[in-house]
Amino acid sequence: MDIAAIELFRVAGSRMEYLAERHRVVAQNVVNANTPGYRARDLVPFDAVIGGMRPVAPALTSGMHLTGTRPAGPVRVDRRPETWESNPDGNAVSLEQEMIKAADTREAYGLIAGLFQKHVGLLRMAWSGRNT
Amino acid sequence: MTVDPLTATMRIAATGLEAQGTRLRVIAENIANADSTAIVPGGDPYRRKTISFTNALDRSLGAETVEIRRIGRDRGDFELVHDPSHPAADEDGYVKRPNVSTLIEMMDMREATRSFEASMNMIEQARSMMARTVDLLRG
Repeated sequence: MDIAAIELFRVAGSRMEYLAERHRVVAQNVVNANTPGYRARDLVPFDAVIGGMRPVAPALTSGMHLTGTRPAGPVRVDRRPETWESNPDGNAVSLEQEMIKAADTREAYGLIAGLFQKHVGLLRMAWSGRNT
Repeated sequence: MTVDPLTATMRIAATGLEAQGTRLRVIAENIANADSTAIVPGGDPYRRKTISFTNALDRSLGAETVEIRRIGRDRGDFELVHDPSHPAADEDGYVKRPNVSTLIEMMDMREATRSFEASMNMIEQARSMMARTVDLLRG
């Protein structure tokens, strides 16, 4: 059985992928917290990812066509999110805000991993026919 | 080849640690030389060093890491102190003092430490997220 055929596992998988990617974007903001002219980035919210439209890509009708450079996954980077502060040197990264984002991401990751585990447990209980 | 986002996080944060570490080294040089005057009469004393960062795209990570753009020199004026007995005093008895302000260096050091800790925090969180993923296998 393909576990991704169950909707919950599919959504949990893409949510985990989204959160890991968000953590990467936050790390990028944190290391550039002292880079002049750098603006903080974020990902487009997850509800827009599962509910909204998928990015449209032109169809490849010939083997000689190049694939686009757009990310294929469920994530899109928002280059101008709202930031708390900006410095005179053009840097707009607030370390406090980034720390909050990172903590949020980690909590959400723990939650979704827990949910995943619970559902695996449910399936296992159904298969074994015993209340373990 | 693309790297998974959590490993990429660690590598990105490592560049941050390196950049802030270098910044701390420059600050330490400035503080250590806060009293380094010239050894010849009328000569120039130690000139404060500055450091600036830039973001650089790392293609293997698909992310923008931080790099050191330049370690330059502060072109600010030297302070003149009247001390005729000093070996570096010019004919009028004035000694040029380095343009290092310990207060500014301390402020800079606090900021560097704070950024260093933030990068460290990102590594720790990425580690805990990875550990959580591995825990999925335990069922």
